[in-house]
Amino acid sequence: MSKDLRIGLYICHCGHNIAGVISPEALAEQARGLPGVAVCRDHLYSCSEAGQKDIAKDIQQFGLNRMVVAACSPKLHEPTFRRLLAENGVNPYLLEIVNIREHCSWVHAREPEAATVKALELIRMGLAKVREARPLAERQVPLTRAALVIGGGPAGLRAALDIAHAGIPVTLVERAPVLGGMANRLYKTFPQGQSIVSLINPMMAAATLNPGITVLTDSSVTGVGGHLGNYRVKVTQARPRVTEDCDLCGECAAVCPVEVPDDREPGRGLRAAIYRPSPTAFPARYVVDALHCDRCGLCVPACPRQAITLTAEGEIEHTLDVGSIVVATGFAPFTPAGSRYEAWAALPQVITTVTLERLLDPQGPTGGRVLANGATVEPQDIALVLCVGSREEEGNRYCSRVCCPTALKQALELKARLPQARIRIYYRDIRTVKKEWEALYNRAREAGIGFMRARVRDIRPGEAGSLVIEADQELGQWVSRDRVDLMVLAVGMTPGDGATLREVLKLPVGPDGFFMESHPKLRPLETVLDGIYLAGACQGPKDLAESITQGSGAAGKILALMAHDTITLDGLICVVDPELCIGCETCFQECPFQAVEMVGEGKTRQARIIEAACKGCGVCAGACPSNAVIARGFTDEMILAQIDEALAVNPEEKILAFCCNWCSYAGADFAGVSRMQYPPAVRIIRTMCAGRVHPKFILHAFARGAGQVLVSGCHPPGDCHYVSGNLRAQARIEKLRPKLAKEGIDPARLRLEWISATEGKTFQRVIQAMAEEIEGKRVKGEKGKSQDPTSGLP
Amino acid sequence: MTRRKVLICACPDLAMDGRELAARLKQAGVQADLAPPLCTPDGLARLRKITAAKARPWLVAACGPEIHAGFFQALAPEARLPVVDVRSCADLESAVGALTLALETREPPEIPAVPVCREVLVVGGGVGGCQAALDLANAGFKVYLAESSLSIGGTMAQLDKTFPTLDCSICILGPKLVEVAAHPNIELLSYASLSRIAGQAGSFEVEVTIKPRYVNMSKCVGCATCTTVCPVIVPSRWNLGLKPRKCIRIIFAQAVPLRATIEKDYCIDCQMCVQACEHQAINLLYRPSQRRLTVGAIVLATGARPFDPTIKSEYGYGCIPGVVTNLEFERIVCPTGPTLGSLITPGGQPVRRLAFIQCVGSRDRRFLPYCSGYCCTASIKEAMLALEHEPECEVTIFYNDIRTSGKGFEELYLRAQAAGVRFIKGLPGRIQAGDDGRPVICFEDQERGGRGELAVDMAVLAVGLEASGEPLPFVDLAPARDGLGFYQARHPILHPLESTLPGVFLAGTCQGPRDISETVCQGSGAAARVIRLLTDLAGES
Ligand SMILES: Cc1cc2nc3c(=O)[nH]c(=O)nc-3n(C[C@H](O)[C@H](O)[C@H](O)COP(=O)(O)OP(=O)(O)OC[C@H]3O[C@@H](n4cnc5c(N)ncnc54)[C@H](O)[C@@H]3O)c2cc1C
Ligand SMILES: Cc1cc2nc3c(=O)[nH]c(=O)nc-3n(C[C@H](O)[C@H](O)[C@H](O)COP(=O)(O)OP(=O)(O)OC[C@H]3O[C@@H](n4cnc5c(N)ncnc54)[C@H](O)[C@@H]3O)c2cc1C
Ligand code: SF4
Ligand code: SF4
Repeated sequence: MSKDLRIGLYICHCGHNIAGVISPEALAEQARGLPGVAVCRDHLYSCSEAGQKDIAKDIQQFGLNRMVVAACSPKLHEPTFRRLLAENGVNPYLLEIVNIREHCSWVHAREPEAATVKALELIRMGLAKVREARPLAERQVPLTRAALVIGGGPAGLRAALDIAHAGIPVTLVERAPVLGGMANRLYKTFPQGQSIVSLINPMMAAATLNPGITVLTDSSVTGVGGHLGNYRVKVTQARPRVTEDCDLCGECAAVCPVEVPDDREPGRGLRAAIYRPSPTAFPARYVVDALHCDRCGLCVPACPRQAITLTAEGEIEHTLDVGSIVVATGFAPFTPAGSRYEAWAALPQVITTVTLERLLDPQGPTGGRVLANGATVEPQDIALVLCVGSREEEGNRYCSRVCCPTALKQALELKARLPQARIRIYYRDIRTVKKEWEALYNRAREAGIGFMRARVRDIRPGEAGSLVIEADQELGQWVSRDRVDLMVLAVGMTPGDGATLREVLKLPVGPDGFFMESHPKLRPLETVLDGIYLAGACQGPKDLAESITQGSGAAGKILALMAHDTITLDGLICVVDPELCIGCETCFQECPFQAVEMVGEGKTRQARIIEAACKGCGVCAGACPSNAVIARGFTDEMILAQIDEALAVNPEEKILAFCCNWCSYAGADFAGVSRMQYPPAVRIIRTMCAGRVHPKFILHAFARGAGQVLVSGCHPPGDCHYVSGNLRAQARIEKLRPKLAKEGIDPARLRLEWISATEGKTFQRVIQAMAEEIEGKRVKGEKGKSQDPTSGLP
Repeated sequence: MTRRKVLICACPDLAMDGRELAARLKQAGVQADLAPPLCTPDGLARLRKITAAKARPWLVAACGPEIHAGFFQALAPEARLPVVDVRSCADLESAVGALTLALETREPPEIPAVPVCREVLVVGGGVGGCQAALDLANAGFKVYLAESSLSIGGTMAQLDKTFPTLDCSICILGPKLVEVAAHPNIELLSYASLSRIAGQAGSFEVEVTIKPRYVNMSKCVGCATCTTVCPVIVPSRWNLGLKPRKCIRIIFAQAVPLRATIEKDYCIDCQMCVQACEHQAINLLYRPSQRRLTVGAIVLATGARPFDPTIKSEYGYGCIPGVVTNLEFERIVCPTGPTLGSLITPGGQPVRRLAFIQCVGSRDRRFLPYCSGYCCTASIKEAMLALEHEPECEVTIFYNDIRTSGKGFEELYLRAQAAGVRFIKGLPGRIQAGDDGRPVICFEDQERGGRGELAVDMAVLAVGLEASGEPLPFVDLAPARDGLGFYQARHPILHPLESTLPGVFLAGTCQGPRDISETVCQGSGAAARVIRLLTDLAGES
């Protein structure tokens, strides 16, 4: 330990957020005399300009060379305080943030005394860690000036165009055979009734023509490696069976003997196995549906331009180097199949809003006539039912936002086409939250469209091909029966099958299944992964304008990034101490990123870590048998010092928890944000990855008398931010259990749990269960002893 | 060269029949062909034939630049096709007129290229303006951020918590404000008003008047000593009149810039602050100063303001002390607010019964004929905050529709229902003062039927957001506003971030109510569009 320690300790009130439970003044009073503390103050808001100025003044006045801030989660303000230190000439890594808000005041709101005791111990742990801190240097890495956009819907198109316009090459990867996304299935759009073709097609055409944009359709991203500024992406493209020579003459489809239902026109129309996916979308080319093609070969000679090669098998692998990525993979409309709407949707008079878009389109399967499922006359009584697949008690609980204006738009269009028709909308709330949407609602009412605040209970076939809708009317609370010819289900938006991409990118999704942004208010476009941004409906239900705005927004982020030649990465990496390395190759085998190389021969053979490749997970340090790996920012000395402080008093009543930075620590934060209360027995030590937790830490904790130890990380197999650190942690712990038993420590006192960033509830449950174990032991231990005289009091 | 041939795009949005248009032109002796929509593959093939030919007598009748998004330029970058916008023509006659005129006009005159300035002015330092400024500054552009108030932060700085996660508002906003102030590429002009805007995209001349604070910005350290000695007490507008402050004050504890300011109208020239200031920062003789800026583009992020419910007299706002607005409620529950975070009525009474009244001003033809979008979720948030302060409090929300449509909003609504917040469908007709002076809400329950009266300790009016309407000093044409006073987007779907005036961009609530995350997305989006425009202009000159 360095002799000359001058630590500044700052305790934040965070308004009432902390001070409402814990007294920062009292804490400051108690912490003032702790070893190394040169100055200790409490602030109403340490992060405010006033707070920061105050700290800056102290740094100068007291010559501070370390800092501890007891405030909110380091996820929020670690960068703020690091910057403050750097600006004042102190190395930014000589800082520890002690989380007394999310992990203390918010979760022990009903136990202010215990919370205060815990807060002081957390501060002691922070001080212990910062005393061991060493200055670290940041790394400059080169930046690849190229970007990848995944998903070619409206959001992805706008992002690609805005990035390419600034001279940065873009690869646009689209899973479908054509660009456009949902736009290919719409007709006219709210709020103005403009046709979708004249909105999205110019963007599609411009993207196709832009020399700076490479469009890869029929492609998917199958691997992503690297980090901010330098991602290496694997894209797998189905080998095209029709070449660019195709001039859309359609001779091939005319001879193809296969007939399959057209996926663009669900429930209606058939197409051949060689077909044109959309009459308007780009790239314009016939495609072979490999699933249904029976290789009869009739189309090959039919093509006047010899553009068809049915033998084209397999896939093309592209490897791209990009600096940054936009995820714009959109949504999927809710499908009634498999839900409580399945039986209704099977009735021929029931369609969804998606189908209705196609029926309204003069280029659609019915030439623009509203003829559902083979009907011959257009309907006279039409009902639209809102919130289908949204706001459900079981299933999707969220509101899909777009279905209300969509239904209003369609109701108005129906009214214009069929002026005699009686149209009504069954709704729960009409959610036209934009100026233009509300105007649509007003217009619909003026046009004589009926609105019923009701929940549809049942639909049955009625007389003469009609339907009877039975509904609970909410206003006045009565049951209505309504005869209609056509019923339209206003289906919501679902996350679609982002799952595969989620695994590849390791991006978290929220409880609703949509990709999660890094902060819902202030960082809505960013993700937890630096350099990967979100745009459009893949982040949550949105209309076109909002999706396109996000496309531009994500482009803005990338343009800001690419305005520089290099990127600064933090100094939190691992290094091997050659004095201690025994050349056993453990780290070489454990490293998930091939960042360890073995140098030298024979006796001098040692491990070395490649700085630019190291991500700082510390998996190697968690495995090294000879303490040779130094995990900067999370060294053995730091963690052991934290353990000692955490277990200094009443260790048997404590749960020592190692939480990985990305999932479990964030999960504990989420429990805090959600104010989920749990027992104050837990002391959290943050590591970058569960794989950093060396068995020696666990043994040390038990040697100090810890009641319970928790190691927690991201869900296997795919969630770990370091590929497989979680699995390595699991393997180590399994190996440790018998050893514990041998040493007379009940292995049940050690737990391994997977807790994701959104599973605050799981964190709460785990801590409650572990605290109960401790409590159970205590009660058992006390049974023999004399009764506590106060325990019987009311 | 005059052109003799017209290629008409059969855009599905043409207001007239394309065939009739072609026929009319043919009658006038012009060769007119109707092509499939030019932005579809079939139309593009047709266009390609035209651009591949050497002779180019063609004029294209299609859409304007806000729709085609540079697609025609991308097709023939070296020799641009002349495109006449007939899609925006309301009828056949005007389309024929526009085309005839274009056919007779010789080559359009080249617009003289002006040197493009790579500096940008952002007007308004709410969260939208701050985001735009940061993204532009990070991309290497010099940004001037002009804010009319004493501090940046806008409405968000006044909120206690934000929905849907109930994050502390100033805790998440504060660092962003500090980042703005510290950014080497951003020059913050606070307490500023624009006095003149002239010029065009690429080169605007802007004059800014900086109002005097009577405090030297470089000497003041924000210690607030002066405020303790000042003898003049005035109501704090920032705390919505709920709390007095001194004539010299720092607007709020997390203000950026953190400087004291004298409100000269109230100052009695006693000089006490001048003597108290250790840093000799106060000078009662300051005059307004002028700044002249040349910028390539302007981002308007001037926000919106809460509707003043006084004119909706049936709710007794201003007469019944227990009736407050939702913004006042935010201040009341905020730890830095007038009550230091205690949930008490303006009269100092505890709040055991609380009601929220939705759509005050909004969705009302007499006032704001639109939905303000944020207030349903804001009231639900505030109901949850009330329960955090007073777990026993009875909370009722009177609504017309509950419009929690936004990521995580419906979940908050469900949580509020589970927490016991009562929702009654039906907007109250009036609020009266009860015998004890407390508000009594007269309502009709539309779901269960029947009229009722509910006496509460506090009635919170969820007021809408209205356009500020304050004109900006554009010398020539100003960006268009809609009938409600909000800035109009160039196109509601394709160009939500551009105003109708080239070079002037929009972010946040100045173009209509929206929540914080949408405002932030717009700030970043506007930054990208500015960069795109300036890159384009620089490429041309
Ligand atoms: C019935 C209905 C009517 C609507 N009407 C309107 C309207 O009138 N006005 C309006 O403003 N909005 C309307 N909307 C909403 C509108 O469709 C969406 O806002 C918009 O499509 C969102 O654009 P996006 O780019 O985010 O997603 P999408 O349009 O879904 O595009 C996403 C693209 O990503 C591709 N993709 C997905 N996964 C991958 C992957 N793993 N790899 C590569 N590519 C992938 C998809 O194939 C698709 O092309 C309507 C929606 C529905 C359901
Ligand atoms: C009571 C209430 C509660 C809310 N709660 C939430 C919530 O919980 N979550 C959420 O997401 N949203 C909430 N909102 C909405 C949120 O406040 C807005 O979305 C957000 O503040 C909009 O930011 P802005 O930058 O567009 O505008 P503003 O915050 O209004 O900022 C505009 C700025 O421009 C300045 N300005 C104006 N005119 C000029 C001029 N001529 N020259 C220079 N400067 C000028 C103003 O001084 C101001 O600083 C709430 C709103 C209210 C009223
Ligand atoms: S937008 Fe309307 S229809 Fe769609 S889920 Fe929300 S409330 Fe229901
Ligand atoms: S958001 Fe709710 S309270 Fe606000 S105007 Fe719309 S419906 Fe009314």
